Amino acid sequence: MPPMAYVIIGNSAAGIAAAERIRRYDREKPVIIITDEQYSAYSRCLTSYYLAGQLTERDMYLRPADFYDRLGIDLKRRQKVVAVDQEKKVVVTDKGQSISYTKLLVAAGASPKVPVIPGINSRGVYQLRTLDDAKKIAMDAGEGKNAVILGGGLVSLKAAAALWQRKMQVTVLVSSNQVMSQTLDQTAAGFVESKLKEMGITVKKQTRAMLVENRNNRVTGVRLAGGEFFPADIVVVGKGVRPNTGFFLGTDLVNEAGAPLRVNRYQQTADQDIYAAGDVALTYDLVQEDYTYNAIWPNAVEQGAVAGENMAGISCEYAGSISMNSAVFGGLSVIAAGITRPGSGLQVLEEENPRAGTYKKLVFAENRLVGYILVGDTARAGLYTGLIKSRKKLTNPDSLLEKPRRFLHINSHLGTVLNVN
Amino acid sequence: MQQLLIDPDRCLGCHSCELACAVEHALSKDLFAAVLNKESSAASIFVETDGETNLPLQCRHCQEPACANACMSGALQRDAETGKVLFNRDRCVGCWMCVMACPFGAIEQDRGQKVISKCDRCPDREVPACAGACPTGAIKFVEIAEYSSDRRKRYLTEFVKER
Amino acid sequence: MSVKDKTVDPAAQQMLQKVQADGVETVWDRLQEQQPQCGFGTLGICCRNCLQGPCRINPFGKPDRGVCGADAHTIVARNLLRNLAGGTAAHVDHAYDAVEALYAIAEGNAGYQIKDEGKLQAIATRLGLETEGRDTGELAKAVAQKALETFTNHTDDTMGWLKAWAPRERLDTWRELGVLPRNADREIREAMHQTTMGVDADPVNLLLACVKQGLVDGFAGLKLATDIQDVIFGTPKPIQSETNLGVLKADHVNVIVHGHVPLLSEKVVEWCNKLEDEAREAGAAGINVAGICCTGNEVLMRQGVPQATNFLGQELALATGAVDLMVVDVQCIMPSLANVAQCYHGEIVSTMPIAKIPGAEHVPFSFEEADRQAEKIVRKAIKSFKKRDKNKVQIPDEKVSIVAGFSMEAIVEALSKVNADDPLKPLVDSIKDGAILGAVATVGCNNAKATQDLNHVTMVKELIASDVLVVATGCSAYALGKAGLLHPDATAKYAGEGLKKVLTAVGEAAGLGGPLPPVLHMGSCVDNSRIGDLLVALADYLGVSVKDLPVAASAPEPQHEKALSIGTWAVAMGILTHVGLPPAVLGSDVVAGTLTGEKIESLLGGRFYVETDPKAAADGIIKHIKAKRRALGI
Ligand SMILES: Cc1cc2nc3c(=O)[nH]c(=O)nc-3n(C[C@H](O)[C@H](O)[C@H](O)COP(=O)(O)OP(=O)(O)OC[C@H]3O[C@@H](n4cnc5c(N)ncnc54)[C@H](O)[C@@H]3O)c2cc1C
Ligand code: SF4
Repeated sequence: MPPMAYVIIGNSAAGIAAAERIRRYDREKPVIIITDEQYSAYSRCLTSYYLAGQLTERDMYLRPADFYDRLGIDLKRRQKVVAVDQEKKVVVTDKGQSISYTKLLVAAGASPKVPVIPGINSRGVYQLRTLDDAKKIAMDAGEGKNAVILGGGLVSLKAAAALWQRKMQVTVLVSSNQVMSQTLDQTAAGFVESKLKEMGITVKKQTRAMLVENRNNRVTGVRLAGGEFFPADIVVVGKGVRPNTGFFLGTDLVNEAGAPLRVNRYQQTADQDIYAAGDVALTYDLVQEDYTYNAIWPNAVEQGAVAGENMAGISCEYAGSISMNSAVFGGLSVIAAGITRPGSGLQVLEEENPRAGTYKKLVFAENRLVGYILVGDTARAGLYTGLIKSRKKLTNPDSLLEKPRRFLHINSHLGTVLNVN
Repeated sequence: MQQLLIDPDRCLGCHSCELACAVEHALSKDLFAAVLNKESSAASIFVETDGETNLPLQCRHCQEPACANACMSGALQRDAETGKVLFNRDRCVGCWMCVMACPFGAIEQDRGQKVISKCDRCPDREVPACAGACPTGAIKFVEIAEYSSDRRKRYLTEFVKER
Repeated sequence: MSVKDKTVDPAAQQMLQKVQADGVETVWDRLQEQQPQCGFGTLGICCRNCLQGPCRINPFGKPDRGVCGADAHTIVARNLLRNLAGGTAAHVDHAYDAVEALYAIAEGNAGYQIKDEGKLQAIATRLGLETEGRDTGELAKAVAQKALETFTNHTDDTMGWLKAWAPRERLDTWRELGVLPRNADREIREAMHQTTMGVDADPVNLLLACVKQGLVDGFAGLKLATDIQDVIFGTPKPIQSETNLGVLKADHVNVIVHGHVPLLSEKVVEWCNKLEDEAREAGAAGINVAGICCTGNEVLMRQGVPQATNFLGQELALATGAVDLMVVDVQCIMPSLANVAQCYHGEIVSTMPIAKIPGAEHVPFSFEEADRQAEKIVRKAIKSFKKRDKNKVQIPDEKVSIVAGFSMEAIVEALSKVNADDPLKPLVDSIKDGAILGAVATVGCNNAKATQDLNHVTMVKELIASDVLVVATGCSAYALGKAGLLHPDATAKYAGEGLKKVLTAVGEAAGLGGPLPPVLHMGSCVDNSRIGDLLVALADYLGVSVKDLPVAASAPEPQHEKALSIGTWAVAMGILTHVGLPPAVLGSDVVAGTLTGEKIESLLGGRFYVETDPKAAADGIIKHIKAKRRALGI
């Protein structure tokens, strides 16, 4: 038997949270983190801020420089995991290294989906996921140039706003009939669209990009199915992500390319020595009441911590995930969580105030709050999030339409209110 | 570890804690000076009521802080030694992820600034300003062991009240 | 808080140690227990004027209005006006008692006589009453009638006492501002009305109403009370006595008179003398009376009764274990006295229908029965003496000689010894030639938030060293007396060269065989009117307005609402008025700024000046005096 070692694939939200949690309980045994990137842990959510020129590289790092040394973590940079031998409990990297594990955490995150469009590989076509991506786009970006964004999701809009901040002419091409169709309903999306318009960002909805045109393999623009042409010096593609589970393809854990790793309440995969957390993992969703892919930062951190705790031998259950997101566009704040586009059987309370620029939508299932959208005034949104997580049946759901009051919550959180946790 | 404990039964809703908090976080840390010089400040403790019980609430400095878990910039982190959830203003980008996450609504968007404001447990004071200001002892800063388990239970039972 | 932070009075310091050992709670303990005190209240931005409230304004943001919509400025101004109405009501009520007594005397229904007929004549003449052919009783009745009209009448005419005594120039100023009061009751009532929910929201209008309250206090309160008390009990003349807890006598029955109205205490003093024999029979060497607060000042000035201690020391007097009985009337009487008394043998006797204290015995006072009541009270004291526990007795050695009783008349009389034809001339000349830089009146209370007496003494020492003549009343006079500043010896020790020369010249001319004290004791807090009279006389003499004089007023340790209304009167008279602790107005920059700013100074000539550091305050005041001198060209 090789000596006990914790191995973590992934040096980001989930991986770091896991390593820290392992070290809370176990300061002895080796912790190895493998990443195919060259950087110490940084926040990829900040890449758009970097692109906008708002942050420098130094601002991106999540932990102090001595973090790995202080915690006794062996960080293996620029090593891409290509295979995992579950029999031998060995991780194999593209540099030919074999790293033995007793407990393995897969926290390899996700990669952007690349749509199949002719010309998509032209120079000047980018995705935004890594710091290197951001650096490349930043080098190419410039005042007055044209940028076309393919996709209307959160990352796309963040990229659009970043390039707008760089004083570029920005056009967002969305295939559905609204932006952020995964997160917001049409009303809320309408607020965001007006804001983007007000900023000077063009949004074209219900479009289908046919062709990325180029000259000398350098992008010149995007042609739509209808023939309309949008000249572009850069194109950023943001069409969603898929989990980085390639190295498991063909095993019991992953039977189809781009499928996530399904885990139990302990963040354990079907292989009991292999855990998964973050954007690679498929977890139980509290309000969907089903396994759902919720690739967001807070879930990655929480799942990483739960996985780490279990790997260290302390039994710890994950309460379940929900989807939630917060974004600010040109000062307009939008927060949405849980089920925001309810099907039948769910009740909705809504309040729209165009004059004040606010919108509030609450979704209930049998008097339980299961989702909400806040636009304009997002103060204390966490009270709603907490209510969703508490699964508490409310006697007076209507009262939630009022300004959120902290008192809402003492029932579901009393243990922590009084700090007896 | 010292913790801020709240006994809602004792809260009379005088808002003294809010005032003391705002003063402590004003430039001069002095009521008269802050008011005379028109220093800008805000409280990070909030006294609210459900009509029957009053609740003075500030950041609970949770052991599993949902805000820090949601913080994508590294601005919010829990200090393992002191148990405080600390905020680094310079790192905050104003994404309001923590506002979305905090189940107590204890994080506010700072007035006119694109960063948050939250309770810092008064690093310059032995006893946090809110606890020091509370005339009835509804907010106490005590070694956590001082609260016996049945006392905790009392709080719990008294708290399970349908809204 | 250490004992030294609580008080600079050595007797009080000793007694604080004793109360600690005896396990007795005092004002300082309670102040400590009240910490932290409410910031909203401190800033004056808490309103309880209606049942929709209480409302408080957040000085740092929202809420910035009460339920009704009142903002910080409205609320602060309303609260201030209510405070002033409270202070004014106290003085006016006090004056009313004196007037009622005068009326009863005139009717032959009171156990008092008129001691100063000359003053009665002078007052009547000034009021424009016919004096020819009227006997004392008739004249007294006529004067009392005028006084009652000053309190209440059904016309819009300006208050009689004010019209009779205010200088022309002031009258014009006040008329222009629309602040001339009609009659006391009406203005106090109106202030209550004006500040009730949904009436006045304009802070400036409310502040003008404050000025009006100040004038009511000054003329229908202070001036009227002093005038009538002088008529009944006599106008004070310089008199020697002693001050501080050392005046209590271990072998005597000790009676303390405490409060503000001299009606009963005068009688108690009388009966203490009459019942000496009974006391001796009870085993005492005699009966010793001593005073606390302004009742003490009144009987000191007219009878030479020694002073026990000022406001903050009232509990400590009981803690000597040697006080057999404390008789109280109204104002500044701590309800805690009854609790402290329980720990010793001393009895607390309340006497006024509006001032009863749980745990105290109540002997109701009336003009007709004053003698019988005083007799009863003194007998109680003798009985109480027998219960005294010798083991609990500890009287500090501290007692200091003082000279008190410098009424306006007494000062003029002393000066007339220097220049019989033109008595004010020597004083004015010394001011002109700079021997006396100016004059400052220190008045008002102790306040537990400030070290007892420290502000009074520190500031006054600075002032007299800079040749500023100081006159004092109220608890300030006590503080300065305890510090030795009411004694001629202090002149050599503390006064600047110029001041020393003048005081010595006047003292020697007046046959005192030495200088006058550097601080002149002018009486109780209603006797601030004497200071007003003196300033008006000086201004008249110089042919200028009071506001042009090189003078200032100061309440270095204010505590009572009365201090605020007196201060407002002083400001209305045109005097720079220092307060050593800020009143609850800082929550509104409009109100605080107006009270202390140039605007009010340009309108009235006076303004408030807040400075908590007594040395800095003395410097500020001296600077002000010098500026006034420059403006006068002297
Ligand atoms: C521009 C942008 C903005 C975003 N904004 C938000 C937001 O506002 N809110 C929000 O909740 N989420 C946001 N997200 C999503 C969020 O960043 C992810 O949910 C989160 O980073 C997931 O963390 P993770 O640790 O699971 O994986 P990742 O952050 O994707 O990290 C994966 C790690 O695994 C390593 N790795 C991957 N494959 C291999 C391999 N084969 N071998 C070795 N190492 C490997 C990578 O180097 C990396 O270190 C944003 C994402 C982007 C790109
Ligand atoms: S008067 Fe106005 S400010 Fe005062 S308590 Fe009533 S509503 Fe509140």
